[in-house]
Amino acid sequence: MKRVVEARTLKAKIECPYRWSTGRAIGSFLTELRDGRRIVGLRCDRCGKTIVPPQDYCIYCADELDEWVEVSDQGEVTTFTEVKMDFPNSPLEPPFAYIVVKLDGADTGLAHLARNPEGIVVGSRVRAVWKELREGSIRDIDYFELVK
Amino acid sequence: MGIEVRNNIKEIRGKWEMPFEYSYGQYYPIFYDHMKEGEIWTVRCSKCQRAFLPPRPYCGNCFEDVEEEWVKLSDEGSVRSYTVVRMPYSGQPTQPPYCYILVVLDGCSNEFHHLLGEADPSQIKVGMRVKAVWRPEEERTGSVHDIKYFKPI
Repeated sequence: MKRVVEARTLKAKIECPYRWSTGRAIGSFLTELRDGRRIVGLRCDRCGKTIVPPQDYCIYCADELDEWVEVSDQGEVTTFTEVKMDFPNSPLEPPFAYIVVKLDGADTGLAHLARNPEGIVVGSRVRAVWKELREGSIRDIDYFELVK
Repeated sequence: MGIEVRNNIKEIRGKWEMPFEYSYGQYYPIFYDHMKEGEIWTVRCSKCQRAFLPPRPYCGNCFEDVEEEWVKLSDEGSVRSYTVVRMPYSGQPTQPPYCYILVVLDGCSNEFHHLLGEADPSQIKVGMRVKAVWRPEEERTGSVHDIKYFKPI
């Protein structure tokens, strides 16, 4: 005869610590987020495109990039995913949206988050909401909010 | 040309955490309760008389449903296999070098995974006799870690 036992579970977690080396382009991008409270990118002097976040080489024409420019912290949503469901490690409380925003002055999109995304559409104007205490992370911009 | 920027962030450190919940089922709670008492118990198949670790609802040898026959196993056994780990990596149970063993406890038909302690890695031999070193009663929580490691006898 089987003994009756109370239902028991093990609650545990797998942890994956990591270290990631930033390189010239992202190191500068993050430093300027933290210390300059601004978003910088690299402009290609061959084809004129502005890459944000910056990379060492132009993604359009492969020229080496070394001209730094500041771009606006406002721009246009080019794509988004609205999230209504809570999940572990969620970056914001739902509902929120993952967005790609083309900041004014940039030719490429920046992946980020939008809070209170109700009514968000492709083309929505958004503005960055900065953290007071910044540490050199993409989350120094806490999230973007829809500009009414 | 262009603006001046500073570059003072050479490295980003972070951590991904994946929380999970694992349900013990019918047999593990009883096994773990006995571990907390400093004893290793498992179920024995009434058909082929074999005992396996960990306890499961059916026999690992003949696939019969196990009738609830619980037996106490010895906390001594022989080493069937081992691995000496010298390389450091994330999530290790202890600082290398250390040794994993597969130990066949007296009375058991399969192996129990654990650590070997109080032993020189160069002295380990397949077949050597080992005995469990238990944590003090107040430190046991009902887990395989209630045994600190096995030591040579």
